[in-house]
Amino acid sequence: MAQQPENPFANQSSSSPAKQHAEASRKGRSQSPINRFTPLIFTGTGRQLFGIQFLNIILIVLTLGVWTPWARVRKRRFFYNNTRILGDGLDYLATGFDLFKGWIVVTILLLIFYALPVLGVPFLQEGASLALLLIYPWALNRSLRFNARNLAWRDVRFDYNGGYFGALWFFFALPLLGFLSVGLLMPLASKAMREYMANGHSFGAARFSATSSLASYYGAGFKTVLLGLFFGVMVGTGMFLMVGDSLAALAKLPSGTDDLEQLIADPKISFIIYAIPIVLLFLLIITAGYYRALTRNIIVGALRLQGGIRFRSHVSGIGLAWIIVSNLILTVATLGLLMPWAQVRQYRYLTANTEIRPIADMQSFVDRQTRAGSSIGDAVGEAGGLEINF
Amino acid sequence: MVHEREGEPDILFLASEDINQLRPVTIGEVLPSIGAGDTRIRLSTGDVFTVDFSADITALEPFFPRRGRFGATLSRLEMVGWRGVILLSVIFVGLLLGFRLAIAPVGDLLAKSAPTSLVERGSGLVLAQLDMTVLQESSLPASQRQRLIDEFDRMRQLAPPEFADTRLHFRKAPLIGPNAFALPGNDVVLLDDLVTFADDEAVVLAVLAHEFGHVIERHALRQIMRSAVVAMGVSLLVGAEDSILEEIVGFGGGLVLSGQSREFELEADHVSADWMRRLGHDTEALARFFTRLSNDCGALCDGGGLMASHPSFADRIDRLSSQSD
Repeated sequence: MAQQPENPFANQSSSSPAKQHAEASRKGRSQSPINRFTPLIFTGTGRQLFGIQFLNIILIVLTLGVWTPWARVRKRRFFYNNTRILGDGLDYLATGFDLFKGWIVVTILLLIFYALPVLGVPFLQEGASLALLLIYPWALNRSLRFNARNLAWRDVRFDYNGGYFGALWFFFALPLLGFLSVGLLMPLASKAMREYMANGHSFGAARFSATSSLASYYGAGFKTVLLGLFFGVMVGTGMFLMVGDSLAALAKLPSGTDDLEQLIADPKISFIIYAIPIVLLFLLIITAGYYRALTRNIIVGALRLQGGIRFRSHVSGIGLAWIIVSNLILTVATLGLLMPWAQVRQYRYLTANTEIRPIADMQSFVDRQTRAGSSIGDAVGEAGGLEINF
Repeated sequence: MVHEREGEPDILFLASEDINQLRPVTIGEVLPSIGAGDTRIRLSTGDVFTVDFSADITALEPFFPRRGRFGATLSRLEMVGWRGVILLSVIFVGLLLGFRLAIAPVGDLLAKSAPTSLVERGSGLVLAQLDMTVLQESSLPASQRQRLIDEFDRMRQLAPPEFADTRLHFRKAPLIGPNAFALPGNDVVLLDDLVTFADDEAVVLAVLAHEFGHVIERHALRQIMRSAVVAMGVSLLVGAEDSILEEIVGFGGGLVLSGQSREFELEADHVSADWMRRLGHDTEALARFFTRLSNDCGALCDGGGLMASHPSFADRIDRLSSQSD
């Protein structure tokens, strides 16, 4: 702070009168944290989300589903609006009607798709599935752009620019390659995908960029494999201890054709046979949460916003995995009634562990983006604002 | 900032620090506070300002555009207390229960109102697609086929008139194994492997009668319509949440459906036993077949779990023997 005597909000002459007021009130409430990492704050509560979510469910049932897009908007607005970056929430500007238009398009497409068999042409539906698959990267691009353009902070909109083939390669082909290589190429795919996503976004006229080292992703992948092995060995040993004596007893039996049935008849063993898929599911959720946390730290740490603004994330892998697993158990056990608290808990953990380092001249930076961004406002109308979500 | 001047209660004015003049404005757009977020107000002048969550802006509300007023009301409704939480929970559980009870009647109603011609066409198309993928021409000897067709004709005379045209299709499918199945329309498919595996014509007839039972009860179509009801209900109830809640409710719906599918199997077993008796065939054949299947593949494939589409063999044998008593 000492090296930065400049007041970040000093440059006010260019802003509109109403904005000046907003700035004045803001000045009082936030101590301009220049060149210092400041965590994001989430101000929403589980009870608020509960009201939003379950009132929405009632409205959706009453309107036979028509309310769905408006429900989505309200939920997104809850999360964005209560995410405060340097004291100010994000604004989600899309309306339910904007989403409704995209929803109509998708509904008509799907109705046609499901009505195809009536035409009686064999394999027509399979062909249509392929066409839908090819549309998907385009639809994903449109949705990313739609959501970025409808997101604003201090009245400056975000934007997303990505082409069809970029989306096809980075969001579909690369992850598929990572999967087909039994995970060996997964860190490479994660890096490329996340950086592509980051580089495609901008805030006003300022672009985001991210370059991170491939080694750090492989480090995260390696740690994830170690964690998976650790849990796998622990659970495996536990299971073996449980049924070890039954197995030994079985081995002593004269070898016959009924081995398998003997095995199944043992209640402990049949319990384990049922438990294995559940254990594997949990192992997958834990390792996925862990990997997600580690790679998130890497990409957020590498993220820059043109002008020198930096970000940092220090989410704990085990911490996030624990939150996800315990939330899942609580949600399932209460038929979804505890889900709002679970979602807020996870989201709050992520925001509290995400930090932004603003630059000295943050206000004039924002003002520059506002002016530069005014043309983007028109582009939103021009693009029609469609979110195509299958 | 914005205030109401005495005597002219319907007009808002904008006051600014640096301009010594009030300008009349209207509120163009409002994003009311949601949760503990700020209210965002855009004026007709294009200025945007945000009002802190804690500020009381009820005095401004009459000036909101209609959509903004609706949003503000909704935001207030959403801010439930603990009593509201309990009330909403009860309503949600009630909706879930109502949905669960509606699956069978609504699905069956849809099945009943589906035009027969469309169902027949769909059924034929399914068979055509199967023919192109997994099914092959049957290689049963013509004499054996003729015997089965003759017996099938006798079953058709027992069926209600709208099912008197039910067709029997002979196919071979090495990938599927010994099996027979009924399609949504009046079609029964018999696979060669079942005939060779059973090695007992009475068993084959009992299986055919079982599948015919599915046809006259319209089980396939009803199951399709019921799963459509589940899919629609899940997307209606929790479709706005792209999340685990949709999976949970969907899983619950799947459990209900497989329970109902097991009931359908028992109903078809019942028809089979009944017809076998009326046609003067071996009434023990089906139970004998199940015993053999369960002995052959052991506890592993006995099924009958919560997720299974068919009841366990033990259960089916029990039901059959209680029917013949």
